[in-house]
Amino acid sequence: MWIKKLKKKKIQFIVLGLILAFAAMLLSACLSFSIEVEQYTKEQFSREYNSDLFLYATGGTSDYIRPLLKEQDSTATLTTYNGYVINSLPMYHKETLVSDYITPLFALELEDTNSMPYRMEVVSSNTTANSPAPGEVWVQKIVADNHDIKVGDTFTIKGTSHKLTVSALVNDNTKPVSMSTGAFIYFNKSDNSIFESRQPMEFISIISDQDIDTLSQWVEDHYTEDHYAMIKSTLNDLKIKATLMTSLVSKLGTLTSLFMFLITIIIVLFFIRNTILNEYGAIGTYKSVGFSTTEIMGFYMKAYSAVGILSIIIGALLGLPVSIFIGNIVMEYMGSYHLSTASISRVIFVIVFTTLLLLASIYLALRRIGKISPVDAFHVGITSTRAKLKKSIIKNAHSSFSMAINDIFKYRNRSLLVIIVVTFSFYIGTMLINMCNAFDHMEDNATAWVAQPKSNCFLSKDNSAIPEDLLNYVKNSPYVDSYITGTGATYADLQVSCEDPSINVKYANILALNTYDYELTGIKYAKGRAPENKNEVALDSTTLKDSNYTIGDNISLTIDNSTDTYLITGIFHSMMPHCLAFVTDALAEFPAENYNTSIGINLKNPADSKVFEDDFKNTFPDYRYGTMKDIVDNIKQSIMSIMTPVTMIIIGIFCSFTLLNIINLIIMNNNEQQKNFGIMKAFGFTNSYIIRRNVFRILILSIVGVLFALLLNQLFNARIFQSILTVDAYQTKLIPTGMFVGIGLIVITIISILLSLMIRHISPKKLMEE
Amino acid sequence: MNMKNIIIETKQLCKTYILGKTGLNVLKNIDLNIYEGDFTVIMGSSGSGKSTLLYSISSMDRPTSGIVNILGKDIMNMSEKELSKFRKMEVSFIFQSMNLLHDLTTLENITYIGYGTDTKEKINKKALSLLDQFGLLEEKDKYPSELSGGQQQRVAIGRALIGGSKIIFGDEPTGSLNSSTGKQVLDSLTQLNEQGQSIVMVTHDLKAATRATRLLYMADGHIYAELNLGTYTADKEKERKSIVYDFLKEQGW
Repeated sequence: MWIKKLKKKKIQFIVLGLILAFAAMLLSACLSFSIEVEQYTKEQFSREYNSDLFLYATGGTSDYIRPLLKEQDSTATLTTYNGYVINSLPMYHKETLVSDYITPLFALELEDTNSMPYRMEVVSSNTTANSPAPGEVWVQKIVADNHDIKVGDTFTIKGTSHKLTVSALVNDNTKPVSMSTGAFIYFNKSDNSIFESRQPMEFISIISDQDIDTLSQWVEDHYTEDHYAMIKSTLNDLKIKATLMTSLVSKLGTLTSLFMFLITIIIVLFFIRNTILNEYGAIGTYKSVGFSTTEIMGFYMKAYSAVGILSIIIGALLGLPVSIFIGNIVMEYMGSYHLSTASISRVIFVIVFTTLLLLASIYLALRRIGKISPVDAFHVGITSTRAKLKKSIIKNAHSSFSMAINDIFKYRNRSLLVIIVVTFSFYIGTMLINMCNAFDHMEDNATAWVAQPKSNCFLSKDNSAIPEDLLNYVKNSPYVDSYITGTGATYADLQVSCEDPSINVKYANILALNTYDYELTGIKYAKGRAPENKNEVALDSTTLKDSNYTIGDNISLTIDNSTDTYLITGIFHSMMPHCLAFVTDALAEFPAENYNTSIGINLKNPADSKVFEDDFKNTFPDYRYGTMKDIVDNIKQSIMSIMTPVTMIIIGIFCSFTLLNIINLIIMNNNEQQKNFGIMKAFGFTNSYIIRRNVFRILILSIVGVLFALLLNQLFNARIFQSILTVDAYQTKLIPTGMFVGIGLIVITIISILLSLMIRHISPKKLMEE
Repeated sequence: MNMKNIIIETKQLCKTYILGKTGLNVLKNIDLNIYEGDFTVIMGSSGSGKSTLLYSISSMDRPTSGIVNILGKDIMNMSEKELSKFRKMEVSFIFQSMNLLHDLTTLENITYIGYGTDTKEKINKKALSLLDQFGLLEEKDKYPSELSGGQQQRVAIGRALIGGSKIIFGDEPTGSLNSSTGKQVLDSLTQLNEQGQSIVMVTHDLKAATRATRLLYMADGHIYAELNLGTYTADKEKERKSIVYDFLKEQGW
């Protein structure tokens, strides 16, 4: 009997099965992904393969700190690897300068991958050696991808005859994401002469059984003017940065898949309820000839359970390849993602948990059968008449549009279901698309991301304060509308510290501008205002969050050994904590080349930027022209390489889920309304009228769902984004959002029309045959 | 010779259903005229083809071959759209199982079908008048599931009348009603016929057949015989019943 039930509604059962499979697939994929990432990073960043503390230090620091460390921790091991700071080295790949704007670029000697104090994996190479040969370099894959560097490419050092061939691309634990630590280019010891014109550095690794944060603080406390770490990172810091994006993806995915599964359960319940309403007569007949409620429930239970369990098993198993697919994308710079037995236990959990939930839901829905008496059933007869119908909202309705509106209110449960599904899917889709867009267009919103000016370009001279001739050129340029002077799009070369341990500003980024006028800079303050005179400072929200300070307090800061008291005037958001903002006057006692190095230009007409760039480069061929895009390009490259495919996958899954639900509801509606359609045809209503009525109904509900989604987007997404990434950079962009919504609605309309075409085959003759 | 206008004319009307690899000829070369103002009743044993004939001459189904002219229009060559318009404006149907739109109220079931044939104001007024005529005014806001079978069928008749259709077709409209409510429905139809409404009805019921002005008897896909009964009057019901009974007996019913 249950097989007959399946055959009778096979298309609807197939669609229902697909919906369940999609929900189980996403849930299984996300749970598998989260456990695998957790296990992988636990192993990848374990002390077994990595040291505890890493210092990117000035030359000679290891000799200075080694005896001190012995006194502090006699069991500690310190290992040194030699290298150079090559930020200013004119090393070119084709015509592009190999550089890393956000973090420093270092060249590091590599003798053997196995001897490094962190895990390193060769991703692609043309050699089987454990280190680069003379004349060769190995490049971190994240740096290579930023510059489109491939194995076999060559680097040239301008002004010399040196050439270096890229013989391997590597992933290592020091650079799992673009924003962490510094970037490495590994070279053979015999090529030292190529880099020795640059500042020497030592990469120091320390293994210690002491509390590593305490040790890290101890190291900092022993810095001298000559011996200090430009960058310092604990193993735990690296792990946190590495898993930032993966945990975001897995948490977001798991939450949405759970929500998706709950919606699926509601849909299954709705489907069963409608089936029972439609089959009142049949159920009554079974009862009248002696079938018990349990036996009748058994027919339905078997049919729904068979479809449900099979779909859940298939979906949960399909989650594994999806997990691998997402894992390979998200962990591109961390190593090779693979599944372990932990995933199997997660899949089994998904199958058992979702099956039990489904069976319980089916049982609850089928209990209604117990209330049906044979007499009741025969009295009902007509489809859905047990469902209480609302009066028509539009009186004297006749047009397909007004009837569609009446249908929406008459069948409010399924209308609500369509709205929930569409709202949910479009909300998630809008959030992901705008999140992607926010990352992809960071340069357009730099004020929000890094609290730096929105200027069209930044002009400077390397290792120099703003030259007078440059300032005069800017003042007299016909293209320039306004300008600001100071640190521009970078930070001051000054060190700041605070004696109060609650405020962590040691080695914080210092921003200095002659003015923070919003009209000129576009920098918005989360609270308070920007500094306006030399005894004022503003801090980023992360720095102030855990401190005892707030706006209006005075704070004592030491800048390059000069201590002064400043009034805290405002708080701003930045993805580059810790960060302080001063007016340039506040730093007047320091050499101008340390902070007053760049002019931010606001052009009269942004379309003139190319003309202005050419004019500037012709006038000052040795000066530097930069834009915010140059700076953020390498940050966003690694983010976008993760965000774009993951967004596409999740949106794809949600679109399929939405369409399957809409298909299911249309088929359900068409089946139930078949008789009504036949009656309408018998009384002269055309196919196109009936199809229009159906399509308008779905379209109106979808539009309402989209409007709700956009409302939720406006209310919550910026706050969610800010709470996760600490920057107020989420913007709802009209074009991508409009395109997503527009395409979504067009697809829904096309699907609705195609499915409604089956109405053409309904003949009024069937009414007479009943 | 009948001097009334012909409203339905068929020539060599055939209908064949394909069942697997074989064809089943249900209507075989039927030549038939139906006249304006008649209450034409079609009877016959099960499988004789009477319902198929009704579908074919009411524009609900397309015959396999032959000619069908309804109200002077060749329905064989009409497009789906033209057929829909034709059904809306010219003919209407009463089904055995009522087939009311279950999600519309009594009043809406009538007005919804009528809108488009006249202004909404006139249709609303006419619908209320029809409900009043059939004693259903108090039920106007009820849904079909809240009405008795007889009430539902009277709503169905109201629906058939709302658009001013020239011909009403009935497929055993009293078939699912008890004798009392069946009589009410037949009285309504008779009253309409007396006012000049053309009616074509298929029935198994002898009582319903006595209301006919013309009775057609079908067997094996042909019209075997016909009987002209003249206008129905209640006082002559017994006599008409006897004539019909004898006629049917003669045909082997």
